[in-house]
Amino acid sequence: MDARKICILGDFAVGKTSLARRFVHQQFSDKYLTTVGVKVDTKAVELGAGRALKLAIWDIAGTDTPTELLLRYTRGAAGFLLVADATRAETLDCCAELRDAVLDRLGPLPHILLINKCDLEAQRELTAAALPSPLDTALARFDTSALTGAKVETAFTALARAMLESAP
Amino acid sequence: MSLPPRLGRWLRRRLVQRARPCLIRVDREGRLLGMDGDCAHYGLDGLPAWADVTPYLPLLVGLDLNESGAGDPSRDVESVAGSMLWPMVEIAGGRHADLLLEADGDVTLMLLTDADDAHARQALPQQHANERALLTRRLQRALEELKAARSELEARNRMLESLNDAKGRFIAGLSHELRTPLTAVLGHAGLLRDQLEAAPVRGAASPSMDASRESLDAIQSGAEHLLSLVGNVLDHASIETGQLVMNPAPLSLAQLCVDLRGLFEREARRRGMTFRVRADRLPPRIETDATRLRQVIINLVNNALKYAGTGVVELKLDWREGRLVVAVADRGPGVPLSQRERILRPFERADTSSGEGKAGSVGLGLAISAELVRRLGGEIQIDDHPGGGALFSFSIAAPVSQGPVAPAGTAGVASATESVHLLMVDDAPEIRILYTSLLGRAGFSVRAVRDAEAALAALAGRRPGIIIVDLNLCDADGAELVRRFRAQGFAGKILGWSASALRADRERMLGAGADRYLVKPVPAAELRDALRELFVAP
Ligand SMILES: Nc1nc2c(ncn2[C@@H]2O[C@H](COP(=O)(O)OP(=O)(O)O)[C@@H](O)[C@H]2O)c(=O)[nH]1
Ligand SMILES: [Mg+2]
Repeated sequence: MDARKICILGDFAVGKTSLARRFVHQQFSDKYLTTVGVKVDTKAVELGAGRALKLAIWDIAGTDTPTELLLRYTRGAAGFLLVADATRAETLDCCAELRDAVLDRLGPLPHILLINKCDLEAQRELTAAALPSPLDTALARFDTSALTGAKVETAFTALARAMLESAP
Repeated sequence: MSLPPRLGRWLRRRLVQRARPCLIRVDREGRLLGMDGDCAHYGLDGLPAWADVTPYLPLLVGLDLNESGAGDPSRDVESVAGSMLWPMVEIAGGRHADLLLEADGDVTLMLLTDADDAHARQALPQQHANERALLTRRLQRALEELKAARSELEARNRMLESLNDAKGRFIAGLSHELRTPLTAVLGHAGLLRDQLEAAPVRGAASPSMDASRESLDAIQSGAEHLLSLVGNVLDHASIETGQLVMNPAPLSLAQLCVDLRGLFEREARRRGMTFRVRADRLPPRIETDATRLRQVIINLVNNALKYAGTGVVELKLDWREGRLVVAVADRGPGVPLSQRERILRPFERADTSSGEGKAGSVGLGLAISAELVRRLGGEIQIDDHPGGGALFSFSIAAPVSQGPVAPAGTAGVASATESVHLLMVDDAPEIRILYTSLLGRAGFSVRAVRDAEAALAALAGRRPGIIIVDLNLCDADGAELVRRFRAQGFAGKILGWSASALRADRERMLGAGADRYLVKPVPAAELRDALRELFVAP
């Protein structure tokens, strides 16, 4: 089976680890455990018509600005997910910055924007709308929840499909 | 540092023990070429040669170290193209390793060293730092929300205040408008009644005269009722907008008793009740807002007559150590304890009120009385009257007045004012006609004019002793006119009046040089008293 490396990028505590955990293990914990370094998990996704792709998912420790170390971790990635926290508007700016740095380092790669924690309606600061203009390079935007699992699978699958189409 | 060979060997062994290095060599396809070192620590032992290692080391997915050529051995591994250090990677079994990769032709070398200790050292401080940042952020957010909520509340409050002000002004304005025509109706009804009473005796008994008298009664009581309602609404609005001001002046208590008897004895008889006034140890004159005190007492006695419906209503006035104690007692059902506080609030009435009390009252009178008494320096108390009934009482500050002694009797006053020439400036014809007639009968000689121009012309002729000026004239501002009278050397008394009870209007008039200010409609008796006082005052 074909394999691709993808990275989950975003500010700390936006839910990167939780999204990976939900996608790979169908689990969620509301306890916050800061990621130090990186964790790599794999999961195969079925894309229909007998096509499948194995994803090596890099959950990288969150930083609000792209560091040299972070960019080094992304080496070899075929696509990435940018994660913002719906309850913290400023985490979206962080996504734009990370996106710029990664595209600068790795060249044009498919990427998707995830507005996570959408289950927390009352605390929501990022409204449900189209792609925000600073992130219009993203292929899509999904309002996800690692807690309920909403749109998590959809987001990962969309990225897998895009990677397959851009470099079969 | 240079070490003797034996120590150097020991140190190397020690560092290697700690780092638990494991070297793996794979080909371009990720197949295992060879392994060396502590492979078991990383869960990689037992892999057969040529096995695909990516399932065990998925971090190799996508990586092609050879694409940029072999590393330059003279440079540090971390900064050389073709080599790569990935620190603190979590691998199988939850272990952490630093991973150094280097390309060597078709072979990729992977050196794993243990990073569990380093990870354990970093995790906690990082966790704390992140949690602190999150908390700070949440705190900031909460503060912002509080601030926003507060400013929104303040804005809403300001809006409500301005709405309330507008409402107050509207009500006050409307009430003034109503008072002027009501004054005319009442005044002219009074004039008619006087004419009727003065008619020849033979006519007095005729049926048509009786009918006229009845009509007159109806007109007067209807207009009085309307006037008191308008007055109440206006007072309430003034209280709400902070416009209500007290005007302390000398008050004759004996005269007050006489007035109140005159006001209520007949009314009580009509209802089959008795009204009694008991006064003890009263000084001749006290200093208080006579109009407001009278208003409160009238309200309480009226209520007693209405709600008790039977028996004796007694008004008791007492003076002790600078305070006037007023009590109104009735023999009615009394006020239940649970309602005593409530009925002193605006638009509330006791539930037990009988039919008559409900009709025609907007439930303002008692609330206004309560507020007026508060302004006069007291508080209305509601108690049970011993032996049944309600007892309303209050005491107010009432220092003995040092003011001029009132003219003794009506006859004396009449003769004293006989020679007083009075100039009245008012643009409402019904007011001019009414008061000319009323004051003429009180012994004043009155000249009434409609505007400022006529008034200034009149001043050039026979000098008046007293001038009455309306605040709102058709051709001028009353206060301005007062100022001009004074500028032209008029040294007599000036009484300003208007339908406005607004503090600002009162102050404008007094500031311009008026000696007193009255709110129209001024009852005939009150106007006579005021003029007498002005006349007597130095
Ligand atoms: N309500 C809610 N909480 C979430 C969601 N995703 C993550 N969290 C919580 O947010 C905190 C940070 O999540 P984590 O995955 O560790 O964030 P990371 O630093 O981006 O990896 C944890 O307490 C999670 O339980 C979500 O979709 N909904
Ligand atoms: Mg994490």
